[in-house]
Amino acid sequence: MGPNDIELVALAKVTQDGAAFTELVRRHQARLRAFLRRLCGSAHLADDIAQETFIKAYEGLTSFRGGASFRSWLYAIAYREFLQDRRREKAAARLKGALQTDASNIETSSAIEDGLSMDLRRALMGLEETERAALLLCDAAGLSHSEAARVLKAPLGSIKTYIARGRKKMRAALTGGSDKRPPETETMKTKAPAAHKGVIYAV
Amino acid sequence: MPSDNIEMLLQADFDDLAGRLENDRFEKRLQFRLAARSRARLGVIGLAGGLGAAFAASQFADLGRLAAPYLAKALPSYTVSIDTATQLSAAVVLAAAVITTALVLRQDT
Repeated sequence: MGPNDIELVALAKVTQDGAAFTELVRRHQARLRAFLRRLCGSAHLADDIAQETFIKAYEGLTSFRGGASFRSWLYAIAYREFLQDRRREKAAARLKGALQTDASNIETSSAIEDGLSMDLRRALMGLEETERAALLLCDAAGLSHSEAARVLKAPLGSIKTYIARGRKKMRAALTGGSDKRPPETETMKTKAPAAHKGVIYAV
Repeated sequence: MPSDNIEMLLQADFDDLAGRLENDRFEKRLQFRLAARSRARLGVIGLAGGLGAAFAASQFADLGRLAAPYLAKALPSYTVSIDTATQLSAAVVLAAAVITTALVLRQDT
């Protein structure tokens, strides 16, 4: 069994070892980028933010104390980068299309390319940023509520509220406004990855 | 255990997306960017070191001429010409700057 994250961080700190950091990137990049893609709705922007996140992490590795998990530390940097990017005027222009909650502005090709159904994408992008982030962190990326609280710098109670509210809104959006649970499809039962491209609620 | 279908739906989508992002050479692109930053930093260090050393070396001739009368009094038997001494000093300073830069580069890579 290989070294865990904390050991790799220690190794990278002590030896200034690029290989140890590369291993950390290899372990976390895919899920971090998936989180960012679903958070900001743009693959290109998400990858830019992910790169910035890893560069910041590399430069700030000495400030990582090891109290929290490396994963939540990394996601916290990514979320901060996302918020900073949102604030910049330039980024706002880039995000204009991607963050529109109006369904008519959703990039169909990008959604299909990402394997995300239009319904799900619309529902997700219809949430408040914090709700979307909390829902993605806990329900999708598998972080605990306390880890999500550290990432979003919010109280634990607020995280639970965001998640509950986010689920409720998504359920309502996916079932056409009636706030009831969506039908459980074969896709959801089996979790077959490619099966839910745009057909989740068409059955 | 997932609390409802929304969670299962998001998990399935997320796992699928993360799986597809696993091997798309993101690490290589990141490494290139990190290396580019490092190269730029080293370039600045090298340039600053070279300029500083060249400037310092250019001052040695004047310093040597100023110090020559005192050196002649202090070391009457030492007959090396001032120009030779300053050229040697300049060469030593330049070599020291190059070695220092090389050491910094070695530590950074």
